[in-house]
Amino acid sequence: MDKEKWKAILKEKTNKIHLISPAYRGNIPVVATSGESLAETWENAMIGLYLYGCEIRTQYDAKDDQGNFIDPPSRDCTTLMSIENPTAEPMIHLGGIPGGFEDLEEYVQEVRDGIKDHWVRNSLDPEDTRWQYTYHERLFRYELPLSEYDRYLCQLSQEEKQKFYRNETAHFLLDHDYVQVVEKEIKGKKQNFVRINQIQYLIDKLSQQPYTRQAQAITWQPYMDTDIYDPACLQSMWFRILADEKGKSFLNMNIRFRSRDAYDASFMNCFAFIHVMEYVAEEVGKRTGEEIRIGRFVDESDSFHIYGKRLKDFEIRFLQNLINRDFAGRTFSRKDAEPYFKERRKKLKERFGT
Amino acid sequence: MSDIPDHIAKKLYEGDKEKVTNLVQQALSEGMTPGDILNKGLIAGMDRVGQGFKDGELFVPEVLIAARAMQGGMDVLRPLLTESDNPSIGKYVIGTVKGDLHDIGKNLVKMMVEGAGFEVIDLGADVSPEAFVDAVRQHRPKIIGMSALLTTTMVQMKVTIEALERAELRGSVKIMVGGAPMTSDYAKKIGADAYAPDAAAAVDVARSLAGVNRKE
Repeated sequence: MDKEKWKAILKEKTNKIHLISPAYRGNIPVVATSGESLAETWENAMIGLYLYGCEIRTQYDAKDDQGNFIDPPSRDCTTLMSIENPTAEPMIHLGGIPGGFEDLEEYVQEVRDGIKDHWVRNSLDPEDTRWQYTYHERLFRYELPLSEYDRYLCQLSQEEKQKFYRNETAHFLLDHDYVQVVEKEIKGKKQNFVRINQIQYLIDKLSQQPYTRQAQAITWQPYMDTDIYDPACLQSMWFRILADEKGKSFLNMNIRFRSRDAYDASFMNCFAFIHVMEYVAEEVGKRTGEEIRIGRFVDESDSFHIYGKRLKDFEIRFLQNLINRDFAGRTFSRKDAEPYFKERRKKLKERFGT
Repeated sequence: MSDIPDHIAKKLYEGDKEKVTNLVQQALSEGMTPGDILNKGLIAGMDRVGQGFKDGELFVPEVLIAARAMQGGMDVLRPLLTESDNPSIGKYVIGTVKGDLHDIGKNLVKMMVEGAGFEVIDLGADVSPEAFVDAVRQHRPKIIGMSALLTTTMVQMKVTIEALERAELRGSVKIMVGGAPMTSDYAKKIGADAYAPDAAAAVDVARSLAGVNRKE
């Protein structure tokens, strides 16, 4: 590696990569990064992780027959990325899309539009080997088993509900149009589930009160996720609207991941969630009649990591190109990627009817 | 000798589909044989791409853009190749194993192997052992490539190999495996012939299994 070029890059980025708390005395390091665009901020986060991350084992590290680790340990830290203008171009970092542009479009449709929700397994069927979740399914179709308690609350009079919730406009969950009751059956066993469209909920909430602090959606389902092998990594999304000095409204988004494959997944996650952000802004705008612009995006990962088996690739590809190419050469705009997106859209329409 | 094949290889590396397509047409009009254009231009270009990827010079999307440029050239050559010679260095059946719906890695290997001159039969994702057996029976490939992203589904590779043994087809085909949870130890343990840690390595492994030496 060219040390002089590496030093120059770090100097250029010095105000955008911050070690908040180092790795010592058993403390997991904390790194905060910022940038104008997604591509820039993500790149800074990867550099911060590489520079300041600690070494730690993961459950996925490969072992030999004797139980000895084959893979090196992962590089890990808690990370916060603050993206000032999430839709600023160039938005796409070439080092962050391991499946290329077409798969990036497919992933956006998976997260925002739910094209793969039918691949999520029936949670009552142990034989069902399909996916354990998609983010769209958890956000737009979040499920909980319907209990007798829910049924009891549902039957209360409006007056009783208001007393119960200490709120004059109180509605019980099942009264909302973003909530459905669905019945699932496997091997003769039936169970009713409450299915909640959390994104519709938060769009309603933001439309009624832009400064609300309750516009959030979660993914964790403790009745199931504490026991599965590979539970959802995204934990929550939170939105709030703030007006600028000219009175224009901007949608702000915070998301939190418990665990994040920094090199092979985090860029795609961010890219897809910016599309969800655009969807929320557009829907709130439709309901309120006011244009809602895209504000800053804060992305927090409890464990932001590069797997040990991928470290070498990161060093020879990501770092080498960081040094040998300028920023324009490492990135792509959405407009330039559009022909590839369009091609995949056509294929997805044929495959999923979307 | 014409320097068009070298131009084709260069433009293919740069992912310029339009230039590659035009240069292939120009090479044909100047009397080059389709076989030479394929081997000295397109496949040589994809070899450079594979090397560039291995060396870390290229990002994955750039490899895929180059593969599309190759397809542009192949669209011109394909009808002619069937008349003049056989472009394929062998058939390659590929799929993600049963229960596994992930296909990013599999698609990347497919593109690279196709670029190396194999005729690829893509069975998609969530492919049952029976479907692999049927594909071997029908297409008689030199190689099967199986992919799995999950530790819970990689066991299906062994199940598939056993199904091929029961169908008495195991001896007729080489098997290579790959995917995030895989190791070469595991590949050996389940009776696969080879393991490829990434898409660029998959090309070398496939060529080696097929007994093909690259000719420039």
